[in-house]
Amino acid sequence: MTATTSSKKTSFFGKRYKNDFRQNKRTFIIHIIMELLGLPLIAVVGLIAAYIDELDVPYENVAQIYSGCSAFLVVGIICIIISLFLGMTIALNHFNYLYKKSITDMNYALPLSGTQRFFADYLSGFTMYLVPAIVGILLAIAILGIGTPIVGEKNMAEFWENFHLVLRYISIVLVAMILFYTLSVLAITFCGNTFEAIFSIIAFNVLIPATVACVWVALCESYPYGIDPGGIVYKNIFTSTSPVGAASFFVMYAFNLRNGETQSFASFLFAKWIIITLIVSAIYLAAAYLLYRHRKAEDVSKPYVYKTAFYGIMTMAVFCILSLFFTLDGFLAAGIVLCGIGWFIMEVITRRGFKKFWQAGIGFAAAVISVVILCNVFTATKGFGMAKNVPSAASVESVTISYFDSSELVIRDRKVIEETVKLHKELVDRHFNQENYSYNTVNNLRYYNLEDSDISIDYSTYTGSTITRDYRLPSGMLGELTKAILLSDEYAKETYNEMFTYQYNIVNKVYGDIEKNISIEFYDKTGEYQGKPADKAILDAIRLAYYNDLSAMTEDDLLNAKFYGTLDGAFVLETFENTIAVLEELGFQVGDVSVEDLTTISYEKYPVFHSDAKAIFEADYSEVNDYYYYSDADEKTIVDSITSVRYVYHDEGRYVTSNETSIELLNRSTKIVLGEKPIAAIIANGECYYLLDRGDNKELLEQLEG
Amino acid sequence: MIELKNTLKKFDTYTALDHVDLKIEKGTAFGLLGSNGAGKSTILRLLSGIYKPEEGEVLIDGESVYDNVAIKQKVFFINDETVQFSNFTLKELKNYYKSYYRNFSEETFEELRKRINLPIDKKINKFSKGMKRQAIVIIGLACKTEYLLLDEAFDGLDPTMRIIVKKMLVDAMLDRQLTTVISSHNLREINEVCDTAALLHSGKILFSRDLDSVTSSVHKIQAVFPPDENGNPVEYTREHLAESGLEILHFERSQSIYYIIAKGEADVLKAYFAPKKPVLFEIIPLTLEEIFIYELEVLGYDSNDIK
Repeated sequence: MTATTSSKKTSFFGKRYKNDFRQNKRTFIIHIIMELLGLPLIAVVGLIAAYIDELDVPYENVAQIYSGCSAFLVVGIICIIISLFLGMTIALNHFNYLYKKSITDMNYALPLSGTQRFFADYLSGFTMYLVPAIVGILLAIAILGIGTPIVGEKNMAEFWENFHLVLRYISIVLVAMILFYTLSVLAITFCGNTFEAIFSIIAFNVLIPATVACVWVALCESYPYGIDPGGIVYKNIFTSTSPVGAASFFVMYAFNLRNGETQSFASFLFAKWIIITLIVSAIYLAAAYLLYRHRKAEDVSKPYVYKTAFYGIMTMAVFCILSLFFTLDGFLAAGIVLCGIGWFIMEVITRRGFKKFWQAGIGFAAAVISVVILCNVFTATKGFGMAKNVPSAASVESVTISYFDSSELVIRDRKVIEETVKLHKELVDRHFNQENYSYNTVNNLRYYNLEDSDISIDYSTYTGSTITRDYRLPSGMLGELTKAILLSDEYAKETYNEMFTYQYNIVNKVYGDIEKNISIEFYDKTGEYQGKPADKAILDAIRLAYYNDLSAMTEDDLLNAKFYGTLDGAFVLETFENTIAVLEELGFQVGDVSVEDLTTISYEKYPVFHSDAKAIFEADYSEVNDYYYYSDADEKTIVDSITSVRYVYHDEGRYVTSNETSIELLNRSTKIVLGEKPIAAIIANGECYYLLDRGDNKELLEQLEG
Repeated sequence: MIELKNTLKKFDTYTALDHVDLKIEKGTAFGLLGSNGAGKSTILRLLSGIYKPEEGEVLIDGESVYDNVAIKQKVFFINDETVQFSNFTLKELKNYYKSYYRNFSEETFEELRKRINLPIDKKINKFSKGMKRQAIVIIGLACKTEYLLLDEAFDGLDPTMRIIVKKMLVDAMLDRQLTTVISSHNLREINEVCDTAALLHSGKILFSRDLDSVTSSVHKIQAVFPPDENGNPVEYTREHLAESGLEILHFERSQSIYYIIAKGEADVLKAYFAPKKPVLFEIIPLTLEEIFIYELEVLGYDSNDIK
């Protein structure tokens, strides 16, 4: 008999890949089922809910249907959670010969190189984990696409408008899945036994983020001036190194977007997070590969092939526990005892007895001493001088500023970045070199009308790192920064995007383009508002005109042009010709106020502005409320300048009947004060404007009482 | 050809193979004999590329085996485990190996399977230990590799099946010059299948020769010597005989009868004892098992010492 042989030439890598798939098809089928019951089910529930909204169904019936939908929603969510956790099972299955002695020989003896075997196994598991998830996502999108015409385009409009954001959520989840799977593979390569393999995966996933968080908190607590402990959710070392961190990034991202902060810091970090997390996953993969190549077939059945992993895990656990106890006076000993119990239990398990148990004692002592030394180093070095760390302007790619009442604004403008760094340096200098500064303090002044502001500064550097700080400061220090922001293109674009958001929502969601039931409002200097009906075309026209004016605004305009009022919260200056033209065409009265418009007016000459400046810079605590708590309520600092942009409250003033002079002063006053001291506060109908030291304003002011 | 050159293999502090040199010619049926922990399985795992030696070289056809896909393609290793791939049916297991071994022969597989009547679609975890062993042996033979390594090959097989499997191996050796390396504690089976063998103990090779020469090189002698001129019985000791060049593995005396296990051809031994004019002299060839026991006894591996 002549034997025929299979002479087909395909790569061994491909064969291994296919065989891995065949061997693990049961897990694959379970995963597919979970994914098909996950997002697609939720999509169906979403469609039903949207459809019910459209129908004229009695409330009781709606409640019943919603209740049924909720049950399916829970099933869908449970399936998604199970499918996410299958990453661990898939990794364990694909690399089972690393911890199951009975199958080691047959895998290592096959005609494959170690590299072929590793990457075929990794990629086979990777495909098995990711592909069903992608199929589930595509199916859910298809269901929503097909269902939209059925339930009504309008009901699904919001979803499809935000579809790009949905895709971002999906990207975060998929990248987090890659990270989880790769980290699981890395954990397995350290181990030679089933228990340790499972334990290590869980330990890596829990202890990596926990340790990063504990180190961060310990650093923050070492010297907390300006440090925002919550800033860890922006740190790649936390969000990109573990699935738990990735989940926190997802939650933060989703939370910010839900609040409409499309320009949030988290939103800006999205692309970087994706790239850095993929790089971290690649590093984990490279580490897993090197460890895999280095380990020997005979290492299987050892609890830990690399003992370093065990001691690494245990030291991380000790650090997490002790760093918490370290801050509690008198409880450190209790923490050490607690850690000791855990340590010795784990040693007994991994040693499978008490062989050379004295080594466990040495290991534990070394870990405790290291952790205590590290915590003391943090304290002694004041968190390695973290509170003094101000990045150079050249290293900063963008800065996200949040102050006064403004929402987060991500800015790449170099001038803004330079001004931010300059301000940041001054804040740090005022705190750390207090002897160089003096404050004009007075006692027993009103404390409820402070010219102080909170500011959040979040830097994103070119290297991908983030620095987040929270400070409180006298508003006058914000002048130059605010000027730079108001003159930046990004501010103009953001204002364009944000203008008439409320009105657009009404247009899109309720009335469509047809009816002019929406209104736009302009507040002039009389404190009264003028409202006019508008449709989408009008909104677009005004918005574009305002954007053009804001983009063309010069520093001179900003500092000297007359302030005419606010349109949807945005200031209108006399130089905003395009905006004024559109508004006037619509019937708005934009311009100076006349005596006929106001019967009374009040004013305060040379108002005194005060701050908590001295207490702010002497305090160690970054949290805003702590400043108040620790500051001396009676001792206030008289400040030479203030910064004010939008809403101004002023409760003092002397009332006079309107006359030509007072109206002229009102027309010359503004809400925009950028780091200078106004010579008067002019109040009209409760709206406060400041008179700045320009031209003959002082002389005119003196005539007021005359 | 298989070569181990000064090969050292350690497991942590334990030395499994201590600078071993071994050559196995192509087409040979080679038996690995030795006590438990002697290093037999370690040699097979080194030859199949599972283990990497700490020192020295493990070569097949002049090339290092470890991580060498081309060489591993020439080798099929059957270990002493029977639980692997339990989730497969025989058909799936065949397809699994077929995808890795380019020369896999469906005809050979089918022919051998039918000969031992193994069900093709039944899960292997439903097989008995012996059936699992048969399954992997027929797959190993169907892979048509140049080298077949078997660790405790006949373990779990019933006597009939042992004969069938041995015949399969012998046929393959005759048909296509298959080189087989078999480790087993069953010396009779090694004797039946192999033409060459090596005896290992504590990670070292005591000898490596063809089996005919092994069995003809150690003999059991029963002898009674006449009294001296004065009528006194002649006293021979082990040391006395060894001093005169005889390599003795075992020495025992019961009254006037000497029982000696000595190395050497029968003619040489006869010539040695002829001058002593024994009254009774009988020379008996030893079985491989007896040689195994006596060789190891010299090294202190004596069942009588085990309490």
